[in-house]
Amino acid sequence: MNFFLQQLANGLAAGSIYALIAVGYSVIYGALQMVNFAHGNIYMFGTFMFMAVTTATKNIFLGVLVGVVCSGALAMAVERFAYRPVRKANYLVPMISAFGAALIIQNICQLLFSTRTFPFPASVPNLFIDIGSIRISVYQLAIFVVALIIMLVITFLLKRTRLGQAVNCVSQNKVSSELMGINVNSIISLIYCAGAVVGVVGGMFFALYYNSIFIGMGFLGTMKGWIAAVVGGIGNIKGTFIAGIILGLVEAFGSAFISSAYRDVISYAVVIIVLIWKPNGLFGSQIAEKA
Amino acid sequence: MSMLKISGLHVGYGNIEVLHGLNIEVNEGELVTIIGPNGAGKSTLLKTISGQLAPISGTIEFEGKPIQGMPPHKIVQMGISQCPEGRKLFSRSTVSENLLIGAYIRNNKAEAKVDSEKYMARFPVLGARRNQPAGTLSGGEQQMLATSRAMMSHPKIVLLDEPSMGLAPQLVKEIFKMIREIKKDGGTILLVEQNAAMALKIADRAYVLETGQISLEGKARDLLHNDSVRKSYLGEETSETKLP
Ligand SMILES: Nc1ncnc2c1ncn2[C@@H]1O[C@H](COP(=O)(O)OP(=O)(O)OP(=O)(O)O)[C@@H](O)[C@H]1O
Ligand SMILES: [Mg+2]
Repeated sequence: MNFFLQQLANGLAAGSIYALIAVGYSVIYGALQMVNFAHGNIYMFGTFMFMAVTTATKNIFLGVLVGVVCSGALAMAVERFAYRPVRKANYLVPMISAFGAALIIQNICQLLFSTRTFPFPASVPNLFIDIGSIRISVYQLAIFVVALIIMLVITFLLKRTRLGQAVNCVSQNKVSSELMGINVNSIISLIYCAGAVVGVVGGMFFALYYNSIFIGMGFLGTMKGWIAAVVGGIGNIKGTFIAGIILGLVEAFGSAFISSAYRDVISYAVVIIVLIWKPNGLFGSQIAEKA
Repeated sequence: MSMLKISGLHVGYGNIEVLHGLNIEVNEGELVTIIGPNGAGKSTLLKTISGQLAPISGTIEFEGKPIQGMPPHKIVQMGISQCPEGRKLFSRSTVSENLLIGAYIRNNKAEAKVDSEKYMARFPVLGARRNQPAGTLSGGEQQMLATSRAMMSHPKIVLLDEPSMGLAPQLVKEIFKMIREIKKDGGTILLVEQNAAMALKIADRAYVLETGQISLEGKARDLLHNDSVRKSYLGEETSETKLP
């Protein structure tokens, strides 16, 4: 029982990180049918900035704030300079400019921070909650709760606010949206910003959970986030979130009961099985008919 | 002073010029129609007014202020609403959501809600399908919805691009009835139409646009009896094109 709950907590925490990174993709894909290939490096950059500021000021809250702002601003810059000029071009063109942007960001990070692996910049007290004979780590639960809250906030914004109404319009028809008085450029810019903010929260949790920050984390998190987005039905935010959590749980229990060496094999097996069974992902029916 | 004043307007796509120096005016409360054959540049003109295209040269003044080259959302906020060719509804959103989106720039959402109910009562087919995705409506229903949506922002002037396109005669009548109602309520309308007979009957003034130039303008009634207009655009009148 104890062991089961421990794996559950491990799975929820890792799954929440995958979910946040994946939701970052899905927010953008759902609204714009665009895969932001620079996503991984954008949140990696934000995580490094978080580290730099936290280390320099010893203030983790300021660090988080700066990390979030830097990621959001960088995503808006990438949108403005790499995607907007080629928005009307063939879809391969923004893909290539995305790879270009990703490379530039990665190289800047290497110049600024080298290719070393850094530990999490603040000491985290190892708090536990004891329920009877069972101990659950507080920060594992906290990761899950924060991810859940972020996901609920996004859902609320998209479903219940004027901003969400505008995003929904832009996702369907940009020309008509303009004719309704919607500032399409700023909505698109905001969507990229939102995707990056969610992503960098995932990135900072990644840093916390694995106690490491390194240039490759963008790519690493991206692989898992991407799997979650595809399995959940990319563009479907709730589906993506659930798929992220499922992926985390499958990995945790798979590592425990089979072997941790097979963790990645298990995640890819999940993708393949789901996609054979449901080619649009678990929750992806709506976006299949995108015009 | 005219509400909308277009002077010496040149517009093109890439380096192909499509509109060659247009002068058009619309006064407050007027229904002005622009008729002309396919490819004359009618939609290009409306897209330029609503800000989707920037002119090569020339000016567009709205209530005395130049608006050419302004972004579309700013132009909507000034009070110019366009119902685009081919309707361009938000096809996954419901009928009632589409109407409410039309009031995006208005601050009072409760009033917008009341207005949307008014349109769904005015067109019972829309009311009956209020929770249905707009993409599932018939062509005629979509046009009613698109025209209503364009009115939801309370525009000072509404630009209608071929509202009768592809509709059965009965529905064409229904749409034109709606246009006359907008005018009766004091609305100002710039109507682009290929159904010249119907358009000339309800309009105050008309322009004939041919290959990017105004070839004829005047009172709609006069154009209705103009020989060259009759030959090129009216042909034989059929009973379907008569107003009820
Ligand atoms: N996006 C575009 N790129 C290049 N040329 C265009 C574009 N849109 C329209 N044109 C050209 O501009 C000219 C005018 O087109 P426009 O759509 O304004 O005509 P129209 O009068 O509205 O015709 P219709 O009655 O068929 O709607 C046409 O020759 C057309 O081929
Ligand atoms: Mg046209």
